[in-house]
Amino acid sequence: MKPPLLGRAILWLCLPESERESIPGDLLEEFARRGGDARRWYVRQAILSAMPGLCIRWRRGEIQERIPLALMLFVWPFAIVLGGGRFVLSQVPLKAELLRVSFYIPVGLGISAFCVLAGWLSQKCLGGKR
Amino acid sequence: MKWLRYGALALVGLIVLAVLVLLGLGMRKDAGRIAGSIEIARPPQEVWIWVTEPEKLKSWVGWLVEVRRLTPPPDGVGSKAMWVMEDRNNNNERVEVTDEVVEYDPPRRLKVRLSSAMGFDGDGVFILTDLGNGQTRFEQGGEYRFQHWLAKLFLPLIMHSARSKGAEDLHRLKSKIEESPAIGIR
Repeated sequence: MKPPLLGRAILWLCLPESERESIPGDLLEEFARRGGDARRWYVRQAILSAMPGLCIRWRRGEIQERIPLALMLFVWPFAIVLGGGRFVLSQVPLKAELLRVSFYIPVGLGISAFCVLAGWLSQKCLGGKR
Repeated sequence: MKWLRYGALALVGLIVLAVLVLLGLGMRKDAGRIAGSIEIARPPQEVWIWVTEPEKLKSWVGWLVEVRRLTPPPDGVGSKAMWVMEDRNNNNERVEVTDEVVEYDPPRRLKVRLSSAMGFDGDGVFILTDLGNGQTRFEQGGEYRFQHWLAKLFLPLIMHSARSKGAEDLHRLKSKIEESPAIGIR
Protein backbone atom coordinates (compact mmCIF):
# COMPACT_ATOMS: atom_id res chain seq x y z
CA MET A 1 0.00 0.00 0.00
CA LYS A 2 1.29 3.46 -0.97
CA PRO A 3 1.07 6.46 1.36
CA PRO A 4 -1.66 8.97 0.44
CA LEU A 5 -0.94 11.27 -2.50
CA LEU A 6 -1.80 14.39 -0.49
CA GLY A 7 0.74 13.55 2.21
CA ARG A 8 3.48 12.80 -0.32
CA ALA A 9 2.75 16.04 -2.19
CA ILE A 10 2.93 18.09 1.03
CA LEU A 11 6.27 16.51 1.97
CA TRP A 12 7.70 17.01 -1.49
CA LEU A 13 6.65 20.65 -1.61
CA CYS A 14 7.73 21.61 1.90
CA LEU A 15 10.85 19.58 2.72
CA PRO A 16 14.33 20.84 1.82
CA GLU A 17 15.76 19.07 -1.20
CA SER A 18 18.36 17.30 0.97
CA GLU A 19 15.62 15.73 3.14
CA ARG A 20 13.26 14.65 0.38
CA GLU A 21 14.34 11.04 0.60
CA SER A 22 15.27 10.48 4.24
CA ILE A 23 12.16 11.87 6.01
CA PRO A 24 9.59 10.32 3.63
CA GLY A 25 11.61 7.08 3.89
CA ASP A 26 11.30 7.05 7.71
CA LEU A 27 7.62 7.88 7.48
CA LEU A 28 7.11 5.14 4.90
CA GLU A 29 8.61 2.53 7.26
CA GLU A 30 6.29 3.58 10.07
CA PHE A 31 3.39 3.78 7.60
CA ALA A 32 3.97 0.15 6.57
CA ARG A 33 4.01 -0.97 10.23
CA ARG A 34 0.77 0.80 11.11
CA GLY A 35 -2.68 -0.67 10.73
CA GLY A 36 -6.04 0.94 9.95
CA ASP A 37 -5.22 4.56 10.69
CA ALA A 38 -1.98 4.59 8.66
CA ARG A 39 -3.22 6.91 5.91
CA ARG A 40 -4.57 9.52 8.32
CA TRP A 41 -1.42 9.25 10.40
CA TYR A 42 0.77 9.81 7.32
CA VAL A 43 -1.12 12.94 6.23
CA ARG A 44 -0.98 14.29 9.82
CA GLN A 45 2.78 13.71 9.96
CA ALA A 46 3.20 15.37 6.56
CA ILE A 47 1.27 18.45 7.74
CA LEU A 48 3.29 18.57 10.98
CA SER A 49 6.53 18.39 8.98
CA ALA A 50 5.47 21.12 6.58
CA MET A 51 6.22 24.20 8.69
CA PRO A 52 9.66 23.08 10.03
CA GLY A 53 10.56 21.98 6.50
CA LEU A 54 9.57 25.35 5.05
CA CYS A 55 11.53 27.16 7.80
CA ILE A 56 14.68 25.19 6.90
CA ARG A 57 14.17 25.91 3.23
CA TRP A 58 13.69 29.60 4.02
CA ARG A 59 16.92 29.73 6.08
CA ARG A 60 18.81 28.03 3.25
CA GLY A 61 17.37 30.49 0.75
CA GLU A 62 15.68 27.74 -1.25
CA ILE A 63 12.22 29.26 -1.55
CA GLN A 64 12.52 33.06 -1.53
CA GLU A 65 12.63 33.39 -5.30
CA ARG A 66 9.69 31.00 -5.72
CA ILE A 67 7.32 32.82 -3.37
CA PRO A 68 5.84 35.22 -5.97
CA LEU A 69 5.16 32.33 -8.35
CA ALA A 70 3.70 30.13 -5.63
CA LEU A 71 1.51 33.03 -4.46
CA MET A 72 0.30 33.49 -8.02
CA LEU A 73 -0.77 29.87 -8.04
CA PHE A 74 -2.91 30.47 -4.96
CA VAL A 75 -4.04 34.02 -5.68
CA TRP A 76 -5.06 33.50 -9.30
CA PRO A 77 -7.56 30.65 -8.78
CA PHE A 78 -9.14 32.53 -5.89
CA ALA A 79 -9.33 35.77 -7.91
CA ILE A 80 -10.83 33.92 -10.89
CA VAL A 81 -13.45 32.16 -8.77
CA LEU A 82 -14.34 35.30 -6.81
CA GLY A 83 -14.44 37.54 -9.91
CA GLY A 84 -16.39 34.99 -11.97
CA GLY A 85 -18.81 34.30 -9.13
CA ARG A 86 -19.48 37.97 -8.49
CA PHE A 87 -20.02 38.58 -12.21
CA VAL A 88 -22.44 35.64 -12.53
CA LEU A 89 -24.46 36.82 -9.54
CA SER A 90 -24.54 40.40 -10.83
CA GLN A 91 -26.09 39.19 -14.08
CA VAL A 92 -28.95 37.15 -12.57
CA PRO A 93 -32.05 38.96 -13.93
CA LEU A 94 -34.08 39.17 -10.71
CA LYS A 95 -30.99 38.90 -8.52
CA ALA A 96 -29.71 35.87 -6.68
CA GLU A 97 -29.80 34.81 -3.07
CA LEU A 98 -26.86 36.03 -1.01
CA LEU A 99 -23.68 34.01 -1.48
CA ARG A 100 -21.06 34.67 1.18
CA VAL A 101 -17.34 35.08 0.44
CA SER A 102 -16.76 31.96 2.56
CA PHE A 103 -18.24 29.96 -0.35
CA TYR A 104 -15.41 31.02 -2.66
CA ILE A 105 -12.53 30.17 -0.30
CA PRO A 106 -12.83 26.35 -0.41
CA VAL A 107 -13.49 26.46 -4.18
CA GLY A 108 -10.39 28.60 -4.78
CA LEU A 109 -8.31 26.46 -2.44
CA GLY A 110 -9.60 23.32 -4.17
CA ILE A 111 -8.48 24.62 -7.56
CA SER A 112 -5.11 25.64 -6.11
CA ALA A 113 -4.68 22.19 -4.57
CA PHE A 114 -5.55 20.60 -7.91
CA CYS A 115 -2.96 22.77 -9.70
CA VAL A 116 -0.28 22.00 -7.10
CA LEU A 117 -1.02 18.28 -7.30
CA ALA A 118 -1.07 18.38 -11.10
CA GLY A 119 2.24 20.26 -11.08
CA TRP A 120 3.80 17.83 -8.65
CA LEU A 121 2.56 14.75 -10.52
CA SER A 122 3.72 16.18 -13.86
CA GLN A 123 7.12 16.93 -12.36
CA LYS A 124 7.30 13.36 -11.04
CA CYS A 125 6.21 11.74 -14.31
CA LEU A 126 7.76 14.03 -16.93
CA GLY A 127 10.74 15.28 -14.91
CA GLY A 128 12.04 11.76 -14.36
CA LYS A 129 11.95 10.89 -18.05
CA ARG A 130 13.97 13.87 -19.18
CA MET B 1 10.63 25.21 -10.19
CA LYS B 2 9.21 23.17 -13.04
CA TRP B 3 6.25 22.04 -10.96
CA LEU B 4 5.06 25.64 -10.77
CA ARG B 5 5.06 25.83 -14.54
CA TYR B 6 3.15 22.57 -14.76
CA GLY B 7 0.74 23.83 -12.09
CA ALA B 8 0.15 27.03 -14.06
CA LEU B 9 -0.47 24.92 -17.15
CA ALA B 10 -2.98 22.83 -15.19
CA LEU B 11 -4.79 26.06 -14.21
CA VAL B 12 -4.92 27.18 -17.85
CA GLY B 13 -6.17 23.70 -18.83
CA LEU B 14 -8.85 23.85 -16.14
CA ILE B 15 -10.02 27.25 -17.42
CA VAL B 16 -10.14 25.99 -21.02
CA LEU B 17 -12.12 22.92 -19.92
CA ALA B 18 -14.55 25.09 -17.93
CA VAL B 19 -15.06 27.38 -20.95
CA LEU B 20 -15.76 24.38 -23.22
CA VAL B 21 -18.26 22.91 -20.75
CA LEU B 22 -20.00 26.29 -20.38
CA LEU B 23 -20.15 26.75 -24.16
CA GLY B 24 -21.65 23.27 -24.53
CA LEU B 25 -24.25 23.81 -21.80
CA GLY B 26 -25.04 27.30 -23.13
CA MET B 27 -25.98 25.87 -26.53
CA ARG B 28 -28.88 23.83 -25.16
CA LYS B 29 -32.30 25.02 -26.34
CA ASP B 30 -33.59 25.74 -22.85
CA ALA B 31 -30.35 27.30 -21.59
CA GLY B 32 -31.91 30.74 -21.10
CA ARG B 33 -35.21 29.54 -19.69
CA ILE B 34 -36.49 29.16 -16.17
CA ALA B 35 -39.66 27.43 -15.08
CA GLY B 36 -41.21 26.48 -11.80
CA SER B 37 -44.59 25.78 -10.29
CA ILE B 38 -46.21 25.41 -6.90
CA GLU B 39 -49.66 24.65 -5.58
CA ILE B 40 -51.19 27.26 -3.32
CA ALA B 41 -54.19 26.71 -1.05
CA ARG B 42 -56.02 29.82 -2.24
CA PRO B 43 -58.23 30.51 -5.27
CA PRO B 44 -56.67 32.13 -8.39
CA GLN B 45 -58.43 35.47 -7.79
CA GLU B 46 -56.63 35.79 -4.47
CA VAL B 47 -53.24 34.69 -5.83
CA TRP B 48 -53.60 37.18 -8.73
CA ILE B 49 -53.45 40.10 -6.28
CA TRP B 50 -50.03 38.91 -5.08
CA VAL B 51 -48.73 39.00 -8.64
CA THR B 52 -50.01 42.44 -9.58
CA GLU B 53 -49.99 44.63 -6.44
CA PRO B 54 -46.60 46.28 -5.85
CA GLU B 55 -46.65 45.95 -2.07
CA LYS B 56 -47.54 42.26 -2.26
CA LEU B 57 -44.89 41.65 -4.93
CA LYS B 58 -42.23 43.15 -2.68
CA SER B 59 -43.13 40.69 0.06
CA TRP B 60 -42.29 37.55 -1.93
CA VAL B 61 -39.90 38.52 -4.76
CA GLY B 62 -36.52 38.41 -3.04
CA TRP B 63 -34.44 41.62 -3.09
CA LEU B 64 -37.27 43.60 -4.73
CA VAL B 65 -37.31 46.87 -2.80
CA GLU B 66 -39.51 49.13 -4.88
CA VAL B 67 -42.05 48.89 -7.68
CA ARG B 68 -42.66 52.22 -9.47
CA ARG B 69 -45.65 52.42 -11.76
CA LEU B 70 -44.67 54.19 -14.97
CA THR B 71 -48.23 54.23 -16.37
CA PRO B 72 -51.42 55.08 -14.46
CA PRO B 73 -53.81 52.31 -13.33
CA PRO B 74 -55.78 50.26 -14.28
CA ASP B 75 -53.30 47.58 -15.27
CA GLY B 76 -53.57 46.04 -18.71
CA VAL B 77 -51.60 45.36 -21.86
CA GLY B 78 -49.06 48.17 -22.28
CA SER B 79 -48.81 48.99 -18.55
CA LYS B 80 -45.26 49.66 -17.48
CA ALA B 81 -43.49 49.52 -14.15
CA MET B 82 -39.97 49.79 -12.86
CA TRP B 83 -38.73 47.09 -10.48
CA VAL B 84 -35.89 48.25 -8.26
CA MET B 85 -33.84 45.28 -7.05
CA GLU B 86 -31.10 45.35 -4.42
CA ASP B 87 -28.11 43.21 -5.29
CA ARG B 88 -26.84 41.87 -1.96
CA ASN B 89 -23.97 40.12 -3.74
CA ASN B 90 -22.63 43.39 -5.12
CA ASN B 91 -22.55 45.86 -2.22
CA ASN B 92 -26.34 46.35 -2.23
CA GLU B 93 -26.16 47.99 -5.63
CA ARG B 94 -29.60 49.03 -6.90
CA VAL B 95 -30.61 47.62 -10.26
CA GLU B 96 -33.61 48.83 -12.22
CA VAL B 97 -35.62 46.41 -14.34
CA THR B 98 -38.40 47.73 -16.57
CA ASP B 99 -41.40 45.52 -17.18
CA GLU B 100 -44.13 46.01 -19.75
CA VAL B 101 -47.29 43.94 -19.69
CA VAL B 102 -47.77 42.13 -23.01
CA GLU B 103 -50.52 39.69 -22.01
CA TYR B 104 -53.08 40.39 -19.31
CA ASP B 105 -55.83 37.88 -18.61
CA PRO B 106 -56.88 38.08 -14.94
CA PRO B 107 -56.83 35.82 -13.00
CA ARG B 108 -55.20 33.35 -15.36
CA ARG B 109 -52.20 34.70 -17.20
CA LEU B 110 -49.81 37.60 -17.03
CA LYS B 111 -46.88 38.00 -19.39
CA VAL B 112 -44.34 40.80 -19.07
CA ARG B 113 -41.38 41.90 -21.14
CA LEU B 114 -38.39 42.68 -18.98
CA SER B 115 -35.37 44.79 -19.85
CA SER B 116 -32.53 46.29 -17.91
CA ALA B 117 -29.64 48.63 -18.51
CA MET B 118 -27.40 45.99 -16.90
CA GLY B 119 -27.57 44.13 -20.21
CA PHE B 120 -30.43 41.69 -20.50
CA ASP B 121 -33.94 41.47 -21.83
CA GLY B 122 -36.48 38.73 -21.62
CA ASP B 123 -40.00 37.60 -20.93
CA GLY B 124 -41.59 36.55 -17.70
CA VAL B 125 -44.88 34.73 -17.47
CA PHE B 126 -47.19 33.83 -14.58
CA ILE B 127 -49.91 31.23 -15.21
CA LEU B 128 -52.59 30.52 -12.62
CA THR B 129 -54.65 27.34 -12.98
CA ASP B 130 -57.75 26.77 -10.87
CA LEU B 131 -57.50 23.30 -9.33
CA GLY B 132 -60.86 23.59 -7.55
CA ASN B 133 -61.48 23.51 -3.78
CA GLY B 134 -59.78 26.87 -3.41
CA GLN B 135 -56.47 25.57 -4.80
CA THR B 136 -54.32 27.17 -7.50
CA ARG B 137 -51.35 25.90 -9.46
CA PHE B 138 -49.02 28.85 -9.87
CA GLU B 139 -46.51 28.53 -12.70
CA GLN B 140 -43.67 30.94 -13.22
CA GLY B 141 -41.57 30.95 -16.36
CA GLY B 142 -39.11 33.16 -18.13
CA GLU B 143 -36.66 33.41 -20.95
CA TYR B 144 -33.71 35.76 -20.89
CA ARG B 145 -31.18 37.02 -23.39
CA PHE B 146 -27.92 38.68 -22.46
CA GLN B 147 -25.86 41.20 -24.39
CA HIS B 148 -22.49 40.96 -22.64
CA TRP B 149 -20.26 38.26 -24.17
CA LEU B 150 -19.14 37.09 -20.74
CA ALA B 151 -22.75 36.81 -19.60
CA LYS B 152 -23.47 34.70 -22.70
CA LEU B 153 -20.58 32.43 -21.75
CA PHE B 154 -21.71 32.17 -18.13
CA LEU B 155 -25.36 31.67 -19.15
CA PRO B 156 -25.68 28.17 -17.59
CA LEU B 157 -24.40 29.43 -14.23
CA ILE B 158 -26.50 32.61 -14.34
CA MET B 159 -29.65 30.65 -15.13
CA HIS B 160 -28.85 28.08 -12.45
CA SER B 161 -28.78 30.91 -9.90
CA ALA B 162 -31.94 32.40 -11.40
CA ARG B 163 -33.75 29.04 -11.10
CA SER B 164 -32.71 28.64 -7.46
CA LYS B 165 -33.86 32.17 -6.71
CA GLY B 166 -37.14 31.58 -8.59
CA ALA B 167 -37.81 28.41 -6.57
CA GLU B 168 -37.18 30.25 -3.30
CA ASP B 169 -39.49 33.06 -4.40
CA LEU B 170 -42.26 30.55 -5.16
CA HIS B 171 -41.98 28.97 -1.72
CA ARG B 172 -42.00 32.42 -0.13
CA LEU B 173 -45.13 33.31 -2.14
CA LYS B 174 -46.90 30.13 -1.03
CA SER B 175 -46.12 30.67 2.64
CA LYS B 176 -47.01 34.39 2.52
CA ILE B 177 -50.37 33.75 0.86
CA GLU B 178 -51.29 30.79 3.02
CA GLU B 179 -50.28 32.62 6.21
CA SER B 180 -52.45 35.62 5.33
CA PRO B 181 -56.18 35.42 6.13
CA ALA B 182 -58.37 34.30 3.22
CA ILE B 183 -60.21 37.26 1.78
CA GLY B 184 -62.95 35.18 0.19
CA ILE B 185 -62.68 36.33 -3.43
CA ARG B 186 -64.45 33.88 -5.74
